[in-house]
Amino acid sequence: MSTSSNAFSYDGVSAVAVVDIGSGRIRGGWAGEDAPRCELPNVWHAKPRENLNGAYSAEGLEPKAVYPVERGQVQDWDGLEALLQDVLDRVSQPQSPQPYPLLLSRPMFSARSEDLGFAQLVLEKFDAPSLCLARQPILALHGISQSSGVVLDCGEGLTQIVPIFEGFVIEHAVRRMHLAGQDVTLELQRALSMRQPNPVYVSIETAREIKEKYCFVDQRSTPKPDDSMSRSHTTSSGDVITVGAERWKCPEILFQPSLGGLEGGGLAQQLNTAIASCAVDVRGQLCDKIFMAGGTTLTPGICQRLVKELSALVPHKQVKVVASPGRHLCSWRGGSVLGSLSTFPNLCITKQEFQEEGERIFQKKFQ
Amino acid sequence: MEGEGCSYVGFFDLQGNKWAESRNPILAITPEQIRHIVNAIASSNTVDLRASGAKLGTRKFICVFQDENVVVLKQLGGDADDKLMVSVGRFFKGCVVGAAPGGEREKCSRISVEKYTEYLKSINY
Repeated sequence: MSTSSNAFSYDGVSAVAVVDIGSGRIRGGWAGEDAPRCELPNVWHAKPRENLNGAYSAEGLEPKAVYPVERGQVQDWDGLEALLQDVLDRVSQPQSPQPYPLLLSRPMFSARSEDLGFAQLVLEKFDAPSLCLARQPILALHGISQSSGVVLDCGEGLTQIVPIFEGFVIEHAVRRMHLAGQDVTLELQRALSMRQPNPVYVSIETAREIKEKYCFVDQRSTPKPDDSMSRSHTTSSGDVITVGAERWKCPEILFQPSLGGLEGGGLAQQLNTAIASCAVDVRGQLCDKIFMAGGTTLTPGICQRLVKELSALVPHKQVKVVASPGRHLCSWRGGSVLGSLSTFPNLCITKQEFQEEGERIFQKKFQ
Repeated sequence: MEGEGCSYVGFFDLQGNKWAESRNPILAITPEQIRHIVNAIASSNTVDLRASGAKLGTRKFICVFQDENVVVLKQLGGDADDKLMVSVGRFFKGCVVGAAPGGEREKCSRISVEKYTEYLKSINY
């Protein structure tokens, strides 16, 4: 990736930090680079808190795991601040000027109050000179050098289906669903604990590990049970867990949410609805350019199943789903591209603008 | 509005009759075309620009945004350096059309149109 210089480049060194804040992972690096320099789980282990008498309460003895972002929404600003600071400390390079502008990725239709919270955090607390808030699916499209298509961004907590025509989001067709990787993990945890005759109780972390290693999307919606599918997983504590039909049954909720007690249509149906909500003239073009992004789209078989189901829903259109190898990093890479453009400073809110105009500046810059 | 990045601005009544427009009328808009869009803004349930798109002059557009005040249209086809982004805002007595060239300036059309629509509605015009 080549780095063109912009107002935020110093001696050929990019000085824009790019942070992709997902529900599952947070990735940080520098604009113009090919990959993030650090990637951390989006979980913060809060230190035990003292009570008013200066003593630790019983429940405060252990560090508490805090998930600062859930389903794309900020739940804990203190945790997020600490995590963001940690990421920035890790990516910092000695030659970059301090402080530097920040590009943060945000989901579609995030609340204005949250955007405001980020502006206060970055521009006031972190003292950054400017901030750009960019939408993850748009960044994902930038990351693969495209300007039109449908982005299916299926991450840990959120799935976003976003039709984009020549760089413009077709807003009324956007789908934002609470059906993503964490639902598969929870379903796997539940399925293992309900299994007869040998129920297994695993932590959410172990369930996630098993999911990432062994789960796949079957090409049939109701495959026959097959013993050869079983795999054994050894946990860090040495326990051996055997997973069988759960390997395909649990990811199946992405296509049949009702199997997991969830409402709404599956990925293919939602994708079809999103495309059908767009103008007739561009539907064919959009069916032909479906781009996968987000970690959950790395599940083996998901792409083929999507093509199969969508082709059945739109039999007269050619369906093409593009699944690039590094698609879980697409949003970050798009941020890296955007942050190195000569026009990037125009997309930023400066500290001065924020101080002078407050919330109104969001309307101007990020509409 | 031209000073705010729009390359074409036009004011019309709700029947599509022209009140005023830029000296460089790059869009030869007909009254029927304006009426179609204005009706769509007023009654998005019966006229859905989101599915059908719209025509302005000889250019075809798709709808990328629509609410009860404004519709934002992006040109389909045509040369890359001649493409337009058009926003139409409906106030009580008429509508304002703002067009901006594609690229960096294209969001100017929506910002300007929304601003003037909001102002004109605020004074009950």
